[in-house]
Amino acid sequence: MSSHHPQLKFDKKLKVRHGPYLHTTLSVSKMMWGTALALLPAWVVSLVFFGWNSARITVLSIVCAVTFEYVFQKMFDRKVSIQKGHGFLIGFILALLLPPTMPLILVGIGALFSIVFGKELLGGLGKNRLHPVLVGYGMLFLIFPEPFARGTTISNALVHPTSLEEIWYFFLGEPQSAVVGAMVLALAIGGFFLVVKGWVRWEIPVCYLATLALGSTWINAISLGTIFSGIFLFAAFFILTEPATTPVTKSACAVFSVGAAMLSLFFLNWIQYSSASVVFSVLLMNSLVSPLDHFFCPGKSKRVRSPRVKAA
Amino acid sequence: VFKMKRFSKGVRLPIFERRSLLTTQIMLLEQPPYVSIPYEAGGTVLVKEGDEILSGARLVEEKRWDKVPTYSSVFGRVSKITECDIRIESIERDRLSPSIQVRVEIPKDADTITELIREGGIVNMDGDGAPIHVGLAQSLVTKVDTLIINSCHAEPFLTADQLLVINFATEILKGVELLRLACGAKRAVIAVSQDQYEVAEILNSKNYNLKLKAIETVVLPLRYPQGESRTLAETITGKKIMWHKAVSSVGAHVENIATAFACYEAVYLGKPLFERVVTVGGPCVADPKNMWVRNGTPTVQLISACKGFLRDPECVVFGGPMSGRAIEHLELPVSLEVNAVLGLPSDFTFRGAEEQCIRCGRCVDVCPEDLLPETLVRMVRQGNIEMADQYGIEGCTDCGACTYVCPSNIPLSEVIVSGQSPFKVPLPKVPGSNLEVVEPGTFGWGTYQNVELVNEQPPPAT
Repeated sequence: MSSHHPQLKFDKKLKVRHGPYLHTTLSVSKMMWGTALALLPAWVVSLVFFGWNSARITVLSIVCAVTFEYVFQKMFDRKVSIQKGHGFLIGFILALLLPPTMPLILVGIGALFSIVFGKELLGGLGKNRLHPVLVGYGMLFLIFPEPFARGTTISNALVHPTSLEEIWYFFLGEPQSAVVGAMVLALAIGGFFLVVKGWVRWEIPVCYLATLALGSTWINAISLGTIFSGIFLFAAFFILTEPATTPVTKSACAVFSVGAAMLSLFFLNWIQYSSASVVFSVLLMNSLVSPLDHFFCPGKSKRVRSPRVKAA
Repeated sequence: VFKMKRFSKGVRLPIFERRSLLTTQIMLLEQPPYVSIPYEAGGTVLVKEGDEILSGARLVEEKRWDKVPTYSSVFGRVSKITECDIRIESIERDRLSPSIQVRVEIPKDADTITELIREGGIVNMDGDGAPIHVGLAQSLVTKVDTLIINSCHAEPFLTADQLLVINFATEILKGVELLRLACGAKRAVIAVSQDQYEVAEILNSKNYNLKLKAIETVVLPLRYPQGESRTLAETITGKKIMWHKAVSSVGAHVENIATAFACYEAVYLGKPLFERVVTVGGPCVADPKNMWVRNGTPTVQLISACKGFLRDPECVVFGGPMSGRAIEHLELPVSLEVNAVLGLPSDFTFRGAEEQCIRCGRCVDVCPEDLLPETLVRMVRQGNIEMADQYGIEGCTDCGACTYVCPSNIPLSEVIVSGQSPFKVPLPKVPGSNLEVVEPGTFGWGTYQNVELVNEQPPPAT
């Protein structure tokens, strides 16, 4: 049988594996470095206003976090994954949470706590059930409370509660509240970038901020300006959205952020520092992720109600 | 203005080139030098080695009603008969069997149509290649309400169904009507994906003359596991299908559009199913085309007809790039359920090394079956199949959407399917070759408590 087409000669070995044969371009390191990129505007603002103090704390925190990550991954015989940027991100977020007057030695200790007790001792990235930065911050806060007391009004890059008018003054060009307004703008830009890229679920910031705004109408101590300045915006976009410590389903994520918001409002009645109230509320909600995941399992309506009948 | 349906789960795949649509003609591939036609064990082979056989003539007769007869796809000489396939060396010119006669009276009752579909050897041309008449008869008994015709793959490169509609819209509508009568449904819905408005347009305008009132077209958004029959039935009926139940539990019956065309040919023209339209494409293929391919043609013939490869493929895939399967070598025959042959290069199929799960929840968002893929993978890897069963592991349709979106490059669907295998193996009446009975209760899980699955699978029949 003659064929019109010249017969193809092909003797290369073909690869056989299970599908699909397409893959997304997204990767874990891209998400981590992207989040760090989204934090950059906030850092620039803090650099402008706090100058040298902010710069040295940030650099020290990042260097310590990455070094400790490397050392402990070597120690626990894990694959070294500092290039994925998780340690970098931990150091960065921690630096932005700490007050600019923080002694440098405490910054290093905070980074150590975050990496060791927050991440590596629990099994590395993805196995941690509590947010690593918050573990470090919480331990620092409880063991060395003095620096936090001195820096009540300001954390490194985050300005503490102010009024809504004060934020508005920034856009009108008033110099005394420039730091607040600039920071709000920077955080909003970074958060918007993350949400548009799809690296964080939009449910988390929306539910968190909405609950806080609703709560602020009941509790007189907190104004709406408090909610949309500094720490709460930061928490909504950068702290609550850590993938490993949030539930996997969308509905559970919404409940998780509503719970975190309600807890932090509750704590704000007793604790003066809003950073700490945010930190401990999120830590508490982190520990509730497993039950939330179980409760909001999406396929409940498709499941067999009765247990499988066993063969006789 | 087309009727739209909403489907929010699944993934939006990137859009790739569709060079196979540069011509709307379906190329006629001439007779390959040989074909090897697979058949199911248990049938009576009607030919001997050395016999001359016409195309469309019956090769294998099946006694059992749930099996279909097999037909020759070329005019040639039977050269070898093995347990699972028949090899026919073709003779220069094609000659059809005289048994292929245009039917004058078209039956209207379900039983006759189902019998003709069985006689035509019609199998499911989009999935597993199982005979469809069994499902049709079951649907007739369970009184399904909707017949869904699947023309929305939502996978890149697959254009065979689209071209089939463009060329044979009237025939397809008649075939759909036959299928609707056969399964006793009140209405038939042709589901078209959003990038193929012309398909919906052609079907609607042809139906204007045919006046088949029960047939309607619905346009679905271009999201990947749309063409999966369970997902499609859920989207069209708006009801959830339980994990352990079949599609018919929501009153729907799903067939592929190529199958509808084959039914038209079998009933109206008396032509049994021995050839189908196949897309040959992918970035590696020089001149992608859609062509009529006879059952059992070696893959290399198809690639040669498309002027070979531009660059060396990493994988050659039967089916779409998401749900298809990679083949071992190019001599493998193309059977009737293969709708595409794609050559995919290494930069295309590349997936990085597996990393640790960061629980980002993307797999949960995209799963069309509402499963928790990351949880199931954790359970399967820990060997906790009983727990995985409670979380609905048997509901996984292996669509691969979770593997596609995973930023940690975890082969989720592969692991889940590997954990699923105890449920997929049918319980044998007599202990089979790869199943052995051990002491009850000592090993096993779920339904097959006292059956141990030996890991070694029988060698694939080629």
